[in-house]
Amino acid sequence: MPPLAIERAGARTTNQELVLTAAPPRPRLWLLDAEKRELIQIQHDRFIRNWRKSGVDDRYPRYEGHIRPHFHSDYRAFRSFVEEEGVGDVTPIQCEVAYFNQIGTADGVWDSMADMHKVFRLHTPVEPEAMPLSLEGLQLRQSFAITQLAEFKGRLYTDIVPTEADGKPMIQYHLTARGHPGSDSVEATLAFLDLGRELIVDYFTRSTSVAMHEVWEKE
Amino acid sequence: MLAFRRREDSACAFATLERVAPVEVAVQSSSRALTGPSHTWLQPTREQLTRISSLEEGWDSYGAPPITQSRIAQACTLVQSIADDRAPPPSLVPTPDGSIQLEWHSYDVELEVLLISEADLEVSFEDLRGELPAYEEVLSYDVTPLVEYVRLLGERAQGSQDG
Repeated sequence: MPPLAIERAGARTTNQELVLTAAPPRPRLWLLDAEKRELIQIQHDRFIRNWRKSGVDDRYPRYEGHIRPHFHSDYRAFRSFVEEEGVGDVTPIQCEVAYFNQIGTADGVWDSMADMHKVFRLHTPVEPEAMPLSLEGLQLRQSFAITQLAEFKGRLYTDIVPTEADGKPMIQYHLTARGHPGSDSVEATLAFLDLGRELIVDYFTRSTSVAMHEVWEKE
Repeated sequence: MLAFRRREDSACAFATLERVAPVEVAVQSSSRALTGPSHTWLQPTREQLTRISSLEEGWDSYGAPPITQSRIAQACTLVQSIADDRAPPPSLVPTPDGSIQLEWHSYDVELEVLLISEADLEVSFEDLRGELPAYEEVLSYDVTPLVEYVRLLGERAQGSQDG
């Protein structure tokens, strides 16, 4: 994984031009459950918990009822292990919650990259009829500062990327909230994850079109 | 529920590999490398970080540890996030405890930034012209003062060229 970049107020958020290369690979543990849906990754500077779709019928689990409590219990277990073994301290300096959405074509809304802007409420392309142009795709990256009670808490990043799956157009819509927990406690970490998840869900709803909401409700 | 077994005798692989060096620092191939606001800082930063990453244990003749990959990455990210193309790039100085300090000593500005942990930066600023008060603080998640000091450097450097 890329080196940890701390979100800081006042700092530029554009892409990094200098990168580390030829760095030795970091050891990272992958812990998978028997169904290969629940994944924990542990690296020298990260504790990550993922849910992965392993079958076509898999439904994404609820945050409150599944993702959050599992993260809570596993993260506490990891912290206890580190403390009991005396291998150092777990000091959270940044938290992150990320949603990776894949949006397939929808009848009546969009079926080609020329229509992908109809999935969102973020962008209206210039009408190309008067020009020898046809829209082939849209990419959009945004970042927002997260501020609570006048305190900088982190940033929300959104990425819209056109792609393909099984020969059909597909949109990847990634939303990531990243910031500092405010204290070392497990509760503070969970509080940031709750905030980040709330912002992601709210922003996803506000940024996608009514037409797509109707499609998803029917599903 | 996750359960961890007790470690018997294995060394901590995470800590061991943290010190493996050197790494290379490269300019990412993108159009921004030519057009970004900080492109005059890129080459000197790359050269200094590459040199620092090659330091071996005892590089200061007093047993100093090599500079960790984490600190090199941290310096790389920080420099780019505060860069002002008008200002001179910082001197990157390895410290005997395995960290890196960013330094500017020009245009009557004394500015030093020591990376003391993944999140914390010890910032020391003095304006020899007395226009801004001296400043010494540990900054974590808000580097606005540091960006202001770099901007001051940029304004003075630009004024020097214009005048």
